[in-house]
Formats: sequence, C-alpha cells, structure tokens
Amino acid sequence: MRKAFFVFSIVPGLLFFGGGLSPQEAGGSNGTVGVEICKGCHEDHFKTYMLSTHSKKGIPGSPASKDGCESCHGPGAAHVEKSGEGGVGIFIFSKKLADAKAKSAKCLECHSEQRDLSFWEMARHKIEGVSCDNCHTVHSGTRKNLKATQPDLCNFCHKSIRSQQNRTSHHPIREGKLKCTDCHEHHGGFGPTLLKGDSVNELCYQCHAEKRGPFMWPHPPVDENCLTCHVPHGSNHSKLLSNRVPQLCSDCHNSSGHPSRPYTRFETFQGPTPSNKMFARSCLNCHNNIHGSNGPSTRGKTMVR
Amino acid sequence: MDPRVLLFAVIFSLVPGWNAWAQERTLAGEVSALPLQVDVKGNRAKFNEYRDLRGGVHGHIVLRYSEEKTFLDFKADDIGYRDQKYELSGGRWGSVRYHLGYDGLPHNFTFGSRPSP
Repeated sequence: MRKAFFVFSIVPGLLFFGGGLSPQEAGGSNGTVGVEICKGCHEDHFKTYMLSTHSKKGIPGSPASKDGCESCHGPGAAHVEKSGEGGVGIFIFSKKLADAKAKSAKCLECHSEQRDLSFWEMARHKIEGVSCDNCHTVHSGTRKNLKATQPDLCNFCHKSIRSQQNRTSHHPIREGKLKCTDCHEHHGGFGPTLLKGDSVNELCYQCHAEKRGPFMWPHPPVDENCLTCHVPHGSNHSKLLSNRVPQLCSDCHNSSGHPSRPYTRFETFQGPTPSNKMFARSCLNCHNNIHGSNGPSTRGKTMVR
Repeated sequence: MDPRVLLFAVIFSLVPGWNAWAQERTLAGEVSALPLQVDVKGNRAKFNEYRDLRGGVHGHIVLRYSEEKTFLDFKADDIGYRDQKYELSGGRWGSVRYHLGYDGLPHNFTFGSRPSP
C-alpha cells in the first residue's frame, strides 16, 4: 500500500514541483547565468528570441531546453561580471567578430544531424563563404527563421536571376507560385547548380512530364538537355526560349534549303513576300510536336502536326 | 485499497498532466481585406498569365498557434479567386510534421479567342 502511494502520488508530485526551475532559468555551475539575467539588459533580443522556434522547450535539444541564450552565445558569467563588457567569450553572429565558418559551426553543433544539411560540407554556398545567418536569424518568428521570403531572400545576392525573373516569359516565381527551393537544394546536393534533380531534364520532367516521352520520333536535344533551347529563369522570347524561332532552330538546322536556309529581311515586312516562316510561331507553325512525335511516317519524323 | 489513498494518488497523478495543460499557448496572426481596382491597358491575358488579379476584395489570413510541444499554422491568400492559396501545417516539434495545401495556378494564354474556321 505504502509503495503504491509513493509511486502514484509522491513521485508525480516531485516531478511537478521539481520541474519549476529549469537549468536555463536558474543558471548553472558551468559559467552560465540563465536567460533572466540576459533578458535584464537585452530585452529586445529576448522578445524576438521568444518568437522563434528556438525558444520552444518542447523541441528536443532546442536552446530553450538547454542553456537558453547561452546555448549559442556561450556562458555569460564573465560577461556579467564585467558589466556587459564585450570580448569576454560571448559569441556574436556578427560579420566583424566571427567568420562564416565559425558562425555556421555554431549552428551545426545542433543542426548537423538534420537530413537536409547532409551535403552542406560540399555545398556551393559554403564554399563561397555563405553562413547560416546570411539567410536565417536565430531571433525571429518567421517560418524556418528566414530573414525574408522567397524569392526576395535569394534575389538579394542573385541579382542577375532577379532580372531574368522579371522578363516577359517566366516561371511563376514572382507570382509566388514557385519557389527557388522547389528546384534548388540550397543546402547542397549532388545535382549541378544545386539542382534537386540528378540532371536538368530529370528536374524539369517532374512538372513537365509530357515532354519526357518516350517518343517514336524523339528530338535529340530534348533528351540531351532542356537548356539547349530554354532558359529556366526568364526570357524575353516566348516559352522561355533562349532565342527567337527560327533563329534558334537555325542554330542546328543549318544545311541548305528548307528548313534551314537563313531567313533574311526579304522574308520580313521589308521584303516583297513576307513569310510565315518568320512570323508568329515560325517553324513551330508546322513542326509543333517539337519535343517529340508519335505521328506516322514522315509526319512524325519531321514533327509536323 | 483505501479509497482516500486511491483518490489522493489519482489527483497527484494528474498533476503533471495539469502542468502540461497549463503550458504557454500563443496565437498570433493577421487578417486583411484589400479592395482593389484593376485597369489593364494592353494584353490582359499576359498580365494575368499566372494569376487572377481582378477588381474586388482580396482576402489574406495568417494564423499561427503554438504550444511548447505542438504548433498549427494556417495561411490563406486571394480567397475566392482562381489563384487562391491555402496552407495548413502543424505537428509536434522534433517528431512529426504535416502540411496540407491547395494552390490554384491559372495559366492564361488569351482571353476571348475564337476557334479557327
């Protein structure tokens, strides 16, 4: 009876009352002072920290479940003793005070086990000196603690890509229907240019599956690389083409006669006989199954409708 | 077993649960309605190639609810339009996460076209 009483009442009671003081609040013997002391001087930082997921004690291994502020910034006893003086072992995520490697290393103390960070060590961003705090902030209430939403966050550095996104033919990135991270593995991966696919084509086919085939009459550059004809981020030519048809087609089909003779101003409005080979969809007026055709005989072979 | 001891044991057994129930809850968010008048001069289909930007009231809702161990986010954009977007995500920190979403993506080539004769 007494044993049962002890198990069912005393133990839970001790757990409840003993749980009132967490290590981060009480301070510790390892040179930590606890979040309440930090809050006394850095109240603004504390408020933004409390908005972030880092402040959730329910997350296993979160700063809140360990030493609070001092989990990332280091023990603050010496800092407090010297009345908040700098340079006493407090780690600050500042470009002036710590390099990218040191800042990322601090984050990776906890986040190294994350699945999407498996290839961070070989990631282009790391090699170029980008650190976690360039995109993330520890003190934030935003999703994934990001400093801004996509694509603005990426475009802050990738300005040439931003200009391409604003061209007349574009993926729906600026409309918010497609994110940079839908195609790119920003933390590093095996694909070229941080792509999420093993190749450009494999990535494109995830959405544009009808271009994959197999076709009875394939168009070889389609199988080879979509980027032979298309630019992914934006173009001033229709359909994200890298050049205008028929000039784009003439880049490869350059033998004499139709279809490859170079079209000149004589076929345009300046000439006596404007040609539909120069206007509207040009070559694609007839060869509209340009990604490949299952049509019979020469119709399929020449990819005409 | 003495009923009084049993009652005492049950009450104290519930105490840790009560402590969990009494944990901090946060509900934050924003609700906005934007009246919009649109006047397109030029290619209306190209202007609305991937969106549905018409005159009217465009609604936007963001709600974020979190506890120490769980969270629930809801987001809605352009409610009632063809490019409306809804997202519901939630889970338990560090163990389970789910995401449900609907994202309308119109792709307009032209408006008012007629079939060729």
